[in-house]
Amino acid sequence: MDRELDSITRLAVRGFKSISDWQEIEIRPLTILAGANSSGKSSIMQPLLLLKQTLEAPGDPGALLLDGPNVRFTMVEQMLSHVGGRSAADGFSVRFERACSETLELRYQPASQGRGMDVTRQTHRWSASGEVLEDLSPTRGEVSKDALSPQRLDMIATAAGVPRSSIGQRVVRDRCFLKVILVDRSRGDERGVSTLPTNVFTGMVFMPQLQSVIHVPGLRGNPSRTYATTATGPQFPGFFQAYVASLIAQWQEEKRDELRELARKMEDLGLTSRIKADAIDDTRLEVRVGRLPKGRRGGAHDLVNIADVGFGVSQSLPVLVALIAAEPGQLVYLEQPEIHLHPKAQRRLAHALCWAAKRDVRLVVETHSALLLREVQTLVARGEMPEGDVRLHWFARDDDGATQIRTAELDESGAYGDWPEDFSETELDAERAYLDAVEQRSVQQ
Amino acid sequence: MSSTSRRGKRALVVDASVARAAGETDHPRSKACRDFLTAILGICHRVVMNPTIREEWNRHESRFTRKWRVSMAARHKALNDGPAALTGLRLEQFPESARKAIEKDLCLIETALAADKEIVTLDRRLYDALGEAPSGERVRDEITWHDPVVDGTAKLGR
Repeated sequence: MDRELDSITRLAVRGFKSISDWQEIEIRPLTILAGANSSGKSSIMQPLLLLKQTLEAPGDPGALLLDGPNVRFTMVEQMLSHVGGRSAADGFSVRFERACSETLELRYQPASQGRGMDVTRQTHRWSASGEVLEDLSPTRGEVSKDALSPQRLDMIATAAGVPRSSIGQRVVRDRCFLKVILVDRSRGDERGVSTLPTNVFTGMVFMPQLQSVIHVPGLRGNPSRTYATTATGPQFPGFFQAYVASLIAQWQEEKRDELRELARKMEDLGLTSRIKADAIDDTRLEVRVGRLPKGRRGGAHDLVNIADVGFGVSQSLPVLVALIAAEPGQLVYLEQPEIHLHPKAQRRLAHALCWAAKRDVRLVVETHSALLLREVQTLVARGEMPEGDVRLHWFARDDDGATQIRTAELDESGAYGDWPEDFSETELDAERAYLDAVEQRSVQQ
Repeated sequence: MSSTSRRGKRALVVDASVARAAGETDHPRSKACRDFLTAILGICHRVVMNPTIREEWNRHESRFTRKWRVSMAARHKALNDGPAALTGLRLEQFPESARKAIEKDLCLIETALAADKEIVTLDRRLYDALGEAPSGERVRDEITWHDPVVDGTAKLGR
């Protein structure tokens, strides 16, 4: 698979939590989501995570696995919009665009029978022309005539050597997608025939991008004395931090450059200069890090368990390992990568993010760090990061509580123009309030 | 000073005296300067600087004004000057003290005339010095002068 060509370049959501109307983000190599708490930053990504956990679930969990490792819901009402005092939306929609200009839009609604959600519509288009390639709704066993476009049906009929009129189409659910089962109606029993493809399953094309999403959540858990041995990719079901120790152990065992890159980046952040992951037994690993932030002669064996050093190390490690392990085109969703980091380290983290973005890893970074954002701007202004590779999406809620997203592109000087708010303006307000208070106090005295 | 109020997006020249006062707690000058700079950031106006003005700002910069300049730059609201305008001042007409005051801040006048002819300053000496000769009066009257303490933000418009 050519991941760069297949990577997700746009994501749009409607009817999900605070996102009542269509809101869209463009995904560039470095995509930054910013805005107040509860403004909808995580909500724009959660439908994608719902699909990921649905596809990764063992067995068929239905159209959506509501309560999974990446997103947790217990009732469908929890995910549907209730904005402006209106009743809940009757479903939600999600739309993806791939780099090769294909768009897939999926509609989910509370199941009419049973529990959970149903996928009720799937529309596949060419992004540029808007031409509809397929527009599917479940046929519930009925045969549909027009699930696929006439042109597409013609192509299939010609290739199979059967008249178009003899091809029946049944639309059925396959996990979170819909697919078309093709049958030969001329046979009367509507069984498939060997010259026809058994089905048309567009969702399959989008599955690899969804399953390969690396999710590093904001809550990354306490550091542990031991970690379970896991697989080491290329896909990472659930949260990414579960795989970190095993990836480090693999890089160490195979003497890979990735381990040296990781040590360099940890040292650059001022955290540690050495990192090791060794097997304790067949099922567990211990992660140890250098006691000192900078390497020095004789310090190679001065290692301590990761649980014995500051949180900055254990919380940053999954972020850095994800940046290094991700392949070009792979989407990495980082929630608050700056947590527990000293301001200096937050600035250096921007360099690590830009390093990965320049490898064309698709980073979606949710952040509240003014320093991180400012350092990205500085790297752009220095010419060390192409301005076209960065997108800033600012999330806010209107008077009804509905999420509104505004997008800014950086110019070559790293400036973003008319964005709704700048983190540093909050700092400016704080400076101003402090100076005003001191001034007022001196006047009173 | 002139009390004309203008509308629309303009490029202002802000003297370092305003930067210095904004970072201090000298009542009521400091708060007035902070309010003025914050107003520029909040509305559509921009500031324009040349290397001499920038150097003066750097010399008097506080945490507040540094953050203000960064925010202005991030919003495309901090402009570098273009070619300086000819002032038409005939300095030989001015008494020596006035000439010295004008020469000291000539960069403010040149930059303002090349931009939208607006100067923000706490220092009245330049304004008064320009009034000492006819060529200076013409330049003085061509410029909109803002004193954040006296005028507040009234002349900024929207």
